[in-house]
Amino acid sequence: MTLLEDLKVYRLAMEIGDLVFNITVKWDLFNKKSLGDQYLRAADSIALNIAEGYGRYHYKENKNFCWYARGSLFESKTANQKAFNRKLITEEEYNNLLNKLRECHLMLNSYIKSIGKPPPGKNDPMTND
Amino acid sequence: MKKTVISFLTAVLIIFIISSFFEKENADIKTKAGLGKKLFSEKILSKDSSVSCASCHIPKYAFADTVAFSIGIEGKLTTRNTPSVLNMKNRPYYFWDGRAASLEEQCLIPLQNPDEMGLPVDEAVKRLNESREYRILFQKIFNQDPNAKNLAAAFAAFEQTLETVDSKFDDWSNNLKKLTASEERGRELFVGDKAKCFDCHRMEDFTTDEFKNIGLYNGKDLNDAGLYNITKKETDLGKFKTPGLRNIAVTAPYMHNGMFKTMEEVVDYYNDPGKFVSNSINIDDALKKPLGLTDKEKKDIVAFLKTLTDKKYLRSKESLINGHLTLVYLMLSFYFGA
Repeated sequence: MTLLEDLKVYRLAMEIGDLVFNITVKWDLFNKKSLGDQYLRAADSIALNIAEGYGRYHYKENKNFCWYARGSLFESKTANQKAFNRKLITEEEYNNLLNKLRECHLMLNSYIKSIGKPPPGKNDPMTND
Repeated sequence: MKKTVISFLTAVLIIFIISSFFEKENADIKTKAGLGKKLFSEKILSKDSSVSCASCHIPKYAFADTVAFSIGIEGKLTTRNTPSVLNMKNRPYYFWDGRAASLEEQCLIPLQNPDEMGLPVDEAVKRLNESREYRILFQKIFNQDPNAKNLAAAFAAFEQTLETVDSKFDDWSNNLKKLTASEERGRELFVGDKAKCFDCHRMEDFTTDEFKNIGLYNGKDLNDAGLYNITKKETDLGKFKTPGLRNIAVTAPYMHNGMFKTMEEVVDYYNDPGKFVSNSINIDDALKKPLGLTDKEKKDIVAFLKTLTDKKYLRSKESLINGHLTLVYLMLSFYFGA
């Protein structure tokens, strides 16, 4: 069985959370309290929800938490855009985070799709006959 | 006399072998999905017993057809391109115009469509009840004789098993494989603001399940109004469901009318829809301006799209090529041998 730490999507989500922390921690108190706090909570929520789902008993619960993770990912994208609009992050930081969030989104989709599926070739109902 | 006895015994043996083969095959059918799979290829479910679901939803082409419009009973053509039935489990509606809300509802409609299988459901049920084989199978699985409800349930159960999640893209997501440089550039374009693919093709099966007008309706030569035919709302003119993109490389031709033969043509179209259809009505705002993709970028997007093909379809393509090579080899051996 794959360990949580081996999941590429989880590792990328962790990296995104840390990146957002390193950016928002430098903001002034007002921006930290208004946008920064929510941006960091959303970004951290991606990996946290993946982990919570992973630890649940039933695959449907896992899937459910991954959908929450995807919701947090969308929230992070909006927060990233707001931070850029308010000139709190540079264009380079904005693009770097946006690219990582998009990459994470694709991976998360694939991960959600794979949850609860038997390994390829096992009990495969499809044949090309 | 001796000759007659031998012929008789041979015939009995052949019948025995064939019937035991079918009995063994049917003994393996223990679930609704298994029965649905058998029914999917059953031609008695069409008016003249000439076509089955699998005639248009061809398994080796990801359960889609290879022509713009499929051929139904009596050589009639369908009015829209046959979509793949893979990855339908989580769709909120079915058909290009979303007129069916469940797989159970969807699967009986082509049966009755006069251009497709042309058989009223009552007649289909009657034919199944007349078949000893099917009566036994329905009794075994549903504890009932065939009826419209359990027929639909069997089809739906089979279609729910047709999920694919074993593509190169999935391997990339699971850290098992790397994308090539071109596929990687294509991935970035796919999710980025320039190509905008991800705006509509962004969930697990690369669709948001929304209805969009992508510019293929002008009320003249392109006069299929899509969702409008169901809702009668002006804003729905020319809207069709956004199809998922998994296995897209094996489901050509593309769009509701099958007007594009290759993925390259599709990307070309999205790059500048106005170049293909200048007078389209109600086109989505996102497609009003050309995307400005370079030739290299278009190739990269196609390269990425090819990574969405499930490995079983890559294999079947390879085995098709191998099959052709074997045939050529046999023909050559026969020619030179003779």
